[in-house]
Amino acid sequence: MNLKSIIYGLILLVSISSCQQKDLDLVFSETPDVRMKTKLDSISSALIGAPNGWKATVGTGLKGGYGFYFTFDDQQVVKMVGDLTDESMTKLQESNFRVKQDNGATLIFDTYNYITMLNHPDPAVYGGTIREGLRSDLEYRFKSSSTDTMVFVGKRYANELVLVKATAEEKNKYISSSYLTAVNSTKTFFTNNENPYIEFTEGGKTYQMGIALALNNKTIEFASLEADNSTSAASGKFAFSLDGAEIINGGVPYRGITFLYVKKEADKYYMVDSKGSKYELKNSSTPILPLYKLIGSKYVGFRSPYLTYFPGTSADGLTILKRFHEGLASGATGYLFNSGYIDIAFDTRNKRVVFSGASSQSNGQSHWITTITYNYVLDDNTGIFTLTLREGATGGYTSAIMDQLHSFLLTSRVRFDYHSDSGNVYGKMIGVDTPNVEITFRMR
Amino acid sequence: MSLILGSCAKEEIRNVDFSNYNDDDPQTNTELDKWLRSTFLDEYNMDVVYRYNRYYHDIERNVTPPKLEAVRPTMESVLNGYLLPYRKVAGPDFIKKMNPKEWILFGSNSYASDGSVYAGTASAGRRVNLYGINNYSPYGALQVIHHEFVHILNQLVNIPTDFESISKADYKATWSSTPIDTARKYGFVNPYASGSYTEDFAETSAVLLVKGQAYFDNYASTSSTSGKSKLKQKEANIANYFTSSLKVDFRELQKEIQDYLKSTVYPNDLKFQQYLTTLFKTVTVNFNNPIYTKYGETPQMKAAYDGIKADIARYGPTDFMQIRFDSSTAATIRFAFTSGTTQYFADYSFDYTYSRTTGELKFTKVAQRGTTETYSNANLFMGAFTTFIQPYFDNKTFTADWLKADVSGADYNSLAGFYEKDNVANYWYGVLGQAL
Repeated sequence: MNLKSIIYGLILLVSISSCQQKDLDLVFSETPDVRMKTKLDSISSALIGAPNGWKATVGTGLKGGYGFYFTFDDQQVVKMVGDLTDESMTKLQESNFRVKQDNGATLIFDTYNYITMLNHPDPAVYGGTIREGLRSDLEYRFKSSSTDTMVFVGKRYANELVLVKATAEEKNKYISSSYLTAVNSTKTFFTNNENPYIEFTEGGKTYQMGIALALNNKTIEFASLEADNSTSAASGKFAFSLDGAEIINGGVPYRGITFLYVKKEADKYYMVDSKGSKYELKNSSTPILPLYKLIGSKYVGFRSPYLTYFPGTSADGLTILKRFHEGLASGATGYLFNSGYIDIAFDTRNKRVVFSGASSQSNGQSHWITTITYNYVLDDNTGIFTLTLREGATGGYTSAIMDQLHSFLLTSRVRFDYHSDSGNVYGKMIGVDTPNVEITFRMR
Repeated sequence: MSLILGSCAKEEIRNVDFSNYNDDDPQTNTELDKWLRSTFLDEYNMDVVYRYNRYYHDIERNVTPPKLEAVRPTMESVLNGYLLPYRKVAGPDFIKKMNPKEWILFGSNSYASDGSVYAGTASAGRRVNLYGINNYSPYGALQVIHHEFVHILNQLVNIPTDFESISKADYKATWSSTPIDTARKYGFVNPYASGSYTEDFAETSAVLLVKGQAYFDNYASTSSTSGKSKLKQKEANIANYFTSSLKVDFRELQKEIQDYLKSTVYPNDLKFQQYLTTLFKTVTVNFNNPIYTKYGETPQMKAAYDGIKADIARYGPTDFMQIRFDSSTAATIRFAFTSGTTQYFADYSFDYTYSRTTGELKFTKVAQRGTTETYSNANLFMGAFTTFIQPYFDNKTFTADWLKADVSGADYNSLAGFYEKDNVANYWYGVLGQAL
């Protein structure tokens, strides 16, 4: 018997034995490879198949949402506009995509385009932090789909990318620079109307809800007075749309209503909720809720970051801030520091204010904190705070350079107000008895 | 056989076709893809991956894919500034064998947690990652590419053991906190090179290959005495590694790479103007040197030279003429001649002005700076000097540059030409020297 006949013999045996084998029962109808291929193909063909492309929103970890318009073709080319910059809203830009099996079916934007800027590790490109950008993804795992919607989830930062089929009219607007016009119109509305609000009823009573749209950070905030005269607040992220803005991640639920859109209709702007009800956006000459009312609910306090002087700070205010910030590195404390900050925090339950001076020798990685605690009395009609010392400086190393702000807080009553500048809203502390002291803080 | 028979008694797993589901083969066929395939894949069996795949970079970092329009310029500089120079100097077999097979392109840099930036990485002799190609500069990119390829070469042929000992005591893993001046003082081409001997080898090689010999020598001359000596030891070691261990003529390789850069972006580091009078302090003209047969005689200069040579012949043969930049304003034109068996010098004093940006050099004859020795020798031929040499240099403006000729690797970076302004037909050239 030669080798060949042995092999033929074996093959014969194998064939015989496999004849006797029962078919394997599959838990699912097909083997994994077939099912995965079906899924990848169906996602690809859905993306490619939308005749007018897709309008989309995606969230970021660091800021709010971003709006896009995509078309996908069968050559793995995606074209997009997005509401990042004036250019990105008007110039349709081409790059590649692919759909791949990678712990689930995954959509990858695999050459550079506008959406890449949200992920860019160099803050010089589109802000954010070094190494992580705005914390947004390039790879999105398929989550679900319905007739006109596909939902993907970012693989690293887990923000949703929601694609909705565009109409022919929407497509034309996106590819003809109307997006920029619409966004500018929305921005103008919220710049011109400094204190927008809507009215809604709850328990037979009408309330005013103040709305703050942070145009740069792309976050939206709601606040209103409750029945018991306390305040409440909620916030979410938005992306610009062709007729206003869309609140992403399913909208913001607030006092029983889920708000989904800011929508422009015939030169008026409305809030639209999940039931389709519209609430006209009106403007108030003064903030619906004065800043002091929101302390304790929306804001826990104020911060002055290291060597950062926000607009609206008066000359005398600047002197006080510089005493602290410049004192950190100058050795005025007896030590040398390279970072730090000032915090003014409110404990509304116990009616206390805590003034913290933080210092760092690791460029802000870790801090030592000195605190001074005050009791406060708030005049509910005027919003004026009167502070008295509860506990002097304790802990940390910065009491020496906290002296000027400390003495101001004890000698002058203070009030708080908003300060808007270049699309950012700050909190300003104003001296009542020493009115030439105005200090602008970042609100926390 | 009993095994096979036994297998029919249990259920078998069905065949699964992984190509259906693990299929990660970006399939576009654009002009770019065709060019990459025919230029790199077909010719060098080198796969250029520009479509994003997270598994090719450090997983905890955000690194972006490249812009499509950045891919071709980057790869053209890889071709012209790296593959073709090696192909020409080392031969097609060498580069096809040694060239890493996977090249992964990224648009952004890769940032480490300490804020330092990765411009490229090489691994396992197989793969090169190039980062930051969206802000593409062929000059910067080639430094990275050559750095990485030297790593690849090192993974195939080890770094000579005596290289490691040159700076052994001075390597520090925390290179990113080492200031450039400290690195220079201790004999490293930059802080990165001070991290480990492997990085030192790759970085020093890349600087020599891409930034150039003049840059390197100039850098070394501003180091400490021991730093300079270490830098020059490293250079010798690297040149020997290439030429002896790899059989790749290092000087020819320097020339090929730098010629490409000079014909394209021409970075300042490669420009001759940067180095005259500071690094290069002398230029020697000797018409007996075979370079004048190779690269041509310069008739007007030759005539002037022969004129004084005939007069010097009264004492003996003329050995050479040397232009010496004594200080930032003073120069000397020296004639060396041999009388009997002793070499004598005759020195003639000039002032000069020189512009580092335009390379314009102008001599003015001034009163002799001495009366004895070399200056008294000068008096012996003052008549011939005034007749022939002085009119050639005095009050004329020459533009200094590398000798504009296709010089061989051995002469590369050692010949300078001086071209009369508005009359380029008249020029002179000579051999550069770094010491007075």
